[in-house]
Amino acid sequence: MKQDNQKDNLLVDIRDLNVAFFLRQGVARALANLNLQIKRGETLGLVGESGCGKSVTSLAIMQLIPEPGKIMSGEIHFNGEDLMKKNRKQMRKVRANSISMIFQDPTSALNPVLTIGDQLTDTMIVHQKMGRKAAREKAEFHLNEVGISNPGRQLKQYPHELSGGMKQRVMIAMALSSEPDLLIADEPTTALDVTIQAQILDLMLDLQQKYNTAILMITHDLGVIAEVTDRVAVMYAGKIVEQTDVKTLFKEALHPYTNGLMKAIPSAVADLADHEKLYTIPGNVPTLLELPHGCYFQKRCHLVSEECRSRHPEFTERSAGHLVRCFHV
Amino acid sequence: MSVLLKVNKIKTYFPIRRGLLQRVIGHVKAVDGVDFHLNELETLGIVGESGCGKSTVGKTVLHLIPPTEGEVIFEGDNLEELNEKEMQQKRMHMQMIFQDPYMSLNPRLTVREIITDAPVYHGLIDRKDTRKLAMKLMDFVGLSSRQLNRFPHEFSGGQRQRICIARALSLNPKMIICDEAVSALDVSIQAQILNLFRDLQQEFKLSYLFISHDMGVIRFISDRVAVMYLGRIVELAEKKELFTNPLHPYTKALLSAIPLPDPEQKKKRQPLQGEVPSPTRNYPGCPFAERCPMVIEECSTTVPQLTELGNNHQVSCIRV
Amino acid sequence: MNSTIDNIDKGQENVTFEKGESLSLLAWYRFKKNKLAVASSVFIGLLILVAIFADWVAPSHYAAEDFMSSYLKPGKDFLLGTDFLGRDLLSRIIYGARVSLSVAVIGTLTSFIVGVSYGIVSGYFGGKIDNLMMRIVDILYAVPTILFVILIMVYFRAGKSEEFTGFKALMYNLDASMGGMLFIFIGIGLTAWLPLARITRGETLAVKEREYIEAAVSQGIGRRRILFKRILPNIMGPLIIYASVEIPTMILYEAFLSFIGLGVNPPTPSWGGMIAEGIQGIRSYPHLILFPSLAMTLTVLASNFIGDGLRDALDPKLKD
Repeated sequence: MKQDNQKDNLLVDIRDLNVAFFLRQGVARALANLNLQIKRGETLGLVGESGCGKSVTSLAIMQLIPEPGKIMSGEIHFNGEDLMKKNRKQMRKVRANSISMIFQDPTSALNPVLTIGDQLTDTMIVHQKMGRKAAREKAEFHLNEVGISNPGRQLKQYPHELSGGMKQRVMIAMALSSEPDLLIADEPTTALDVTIQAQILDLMLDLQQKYNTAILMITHDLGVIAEVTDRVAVMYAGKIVEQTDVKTLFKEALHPYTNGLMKAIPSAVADLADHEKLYTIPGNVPTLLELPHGCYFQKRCHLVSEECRSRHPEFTERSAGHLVRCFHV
Repeated sequence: MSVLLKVNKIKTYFPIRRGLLQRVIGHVKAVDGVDFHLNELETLGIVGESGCGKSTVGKTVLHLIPPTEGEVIFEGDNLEELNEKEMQQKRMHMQMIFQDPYMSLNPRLTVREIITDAPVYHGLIDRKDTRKLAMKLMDFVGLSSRQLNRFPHEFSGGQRQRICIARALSLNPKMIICDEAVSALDVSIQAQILNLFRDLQQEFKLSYLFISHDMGVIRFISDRVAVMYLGRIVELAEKKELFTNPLHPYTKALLSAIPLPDPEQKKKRQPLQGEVPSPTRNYPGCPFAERCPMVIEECSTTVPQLTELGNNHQVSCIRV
Repeated sequence: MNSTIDNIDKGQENVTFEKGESLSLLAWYRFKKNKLAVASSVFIGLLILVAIFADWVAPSHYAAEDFMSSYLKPGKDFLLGTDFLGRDLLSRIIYGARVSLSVAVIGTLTSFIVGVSYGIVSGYFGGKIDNLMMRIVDILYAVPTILFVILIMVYFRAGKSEEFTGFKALMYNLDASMGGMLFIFIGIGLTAWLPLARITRGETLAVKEREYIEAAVSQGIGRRRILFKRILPNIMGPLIIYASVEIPTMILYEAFLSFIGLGVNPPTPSWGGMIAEGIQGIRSYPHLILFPSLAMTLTVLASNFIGDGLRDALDPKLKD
């Protein structure tokens, strides 16, 4: 951020973002002082387990935090503008034109009573002021682009007539139809079979090249992360604990949580020795209501010391672009 | 090693009904002629994509859904021939653990009731001993026994799966069918539960029928692996053999499609084209023919049979 | 044999157990937070007490006539005034509550028991049984209830009662001994359980497919226990919500029958009957119609608020 051209290169810049959920049982700090940058055209992976705040981050960018959640403080710059300062109408415009989102479950993201065609052309007609016919042609073009061979027919179909993989293709076509600067993909392949997942991931990468769209890839699957991302942020209990480029992460991850996660996945390409157990991170994923004083990972960490219990580790740079939040590595 | 479970050519069809008179107009062939056996103390992994019928195989083995054709022989008894009472007794020895620990625990019962209801019902223990049994089993599966009077919604996903395991163990089973039992769990919790399954296998002398879509999980837990596609087993072999020397083109495609946690190896795979076709169709030949990279004319006319190629490696493909 | 169950005594004894919060308890917390529903419950509770102890609470008997003081406006001697026969309006409203509330309570209770048992059996057994049972419900739905009740009332009540014989006499006497409420109950009994039966069936069908029920089956637990101990508690929520919504309908139903002169026998007071009597003097003596209407409106409103409160408490998905 020292040079100007680097600044221009920045698409999303999140500064000290705090999000809290006000529940019956208490206040859950879903995101605590989150800092995250996404460059133009890159794919940033956001990994973590359930409740770590990865989905909340994406909803915060969209300014769509559901009740009883609230953005408490922080700035979210997108294309140089602070999204927090935008009103509803302006925000709707940003969502329609510059940020798109695809979800884990394409079935619930598509309206079951409208045809694929209606859903695809709707935003084009409303936000891009296109004529019905032009919108239709554009929709066909995008369906073709996501590998749907007979788009004319598909446009007349209802969501329930399509398979899960097809629906996800339609979602991608819909997301890309506005040629957004940022595509947020929240577990886009988790509900799909491996063979279909491979097709969808390839498709996303191809289209990214073509449109130079930045992708925020949210997933719990480290395989997917390795396959498609450029940089990765690992989240734990509402904080980023490690952030670096993907190769460094898989070669020399530093944070004990990142390391644990990688070792805990049973491998499909190698066998463990007989009777060898899987590496485990002890304990449970923490609930955000009862976070400990000091480092949030202390209860499950094998490196824990007195210092970890007394204060929170800073997010510090260890080598160029490799940031870690831990006292002991 | 003796055989605990033998499954002979089971077929499970679900009728599709239409119209006012509910006429049967076709069948969903969820399981279409499946053959395998499970030895004592062994883990057989069943792997496949959604809709391949792997879950139905599990339910058919337990006779939660009776097979349309074929037989299930457990501990030497053909389940078809048992009456209701005998079946209830038999079921104590074969338990099931489901994918979704949120849905598979009765929200109205306490953990203690969930774990001990069945043994009390079957007269294995006295009502006054339920607390002790619950505490003991909770200990085994790694839950704090102080939480015995709590309700399922007060636990996290991993803890609930532990409750499910404790419930299954309460009847002293010989075999546990795990239907995607770790799929809904976070990675760090999944590893804990997988290790727990392994430990319990030794402790309680269990056999597992482990159904999963996750190749890594299957590779960790299984002794032998069966790969299913469209209601049939296309390949069955010892774990090591299957993963290092896959023969069926579908198994190969499945293995190459897995995204590996290694960014250096990007983009080497050739994903399978197309999607799994409908299980309602009739196939004159091999059901995999239309997606198969090795397809020849004969494939669309000849139905391949699962054949032994030596080394306990069975494949259902005319090209190998 | 390995064992879960042998040497059960291993469990430690002195442990303090954590207390669980059941779903019902959580629902109660949510209900308590709804001020309007709590106030309404207090109101209905008081009303029930007043109705039960009417003999002590009411200033005079409902049939006590005093021709010297007919058509009095509300005042010191008669708090809410008197009607055309000089009967104390307040006392009549208090006694009238008996009719309205007993119709509400007995009607709801019977329709609940009948509807739920019918629906749960239909839903659980499914198939042909379900089909037959639901067609019967469809047929009963088609009966024009009000017309039917009017017809039987006209049949049983017309003519000189001394000349009645056999079944007709029996019915007449039974009706008379219940103060004319028998036919109201018959009318309600005929139809009020139908929607409950349908809802119960639907809920049963849904819960039956849940994995925790499958788990119970695979543990060899018998049908009856599954039906009453596992399914029933899990479908109670929506059923209670529905029944509570039905209560005001029943109160209004009774009022309607009494209003058209087919309700309880005079001089037994009922709110609907009192409104009918008051309607002749609506211009000169509006209080005769105002107070019973007010009593009814408040009761119906309060039951609606309770119904809303129950819905929000038992089905949190609808709200937060």
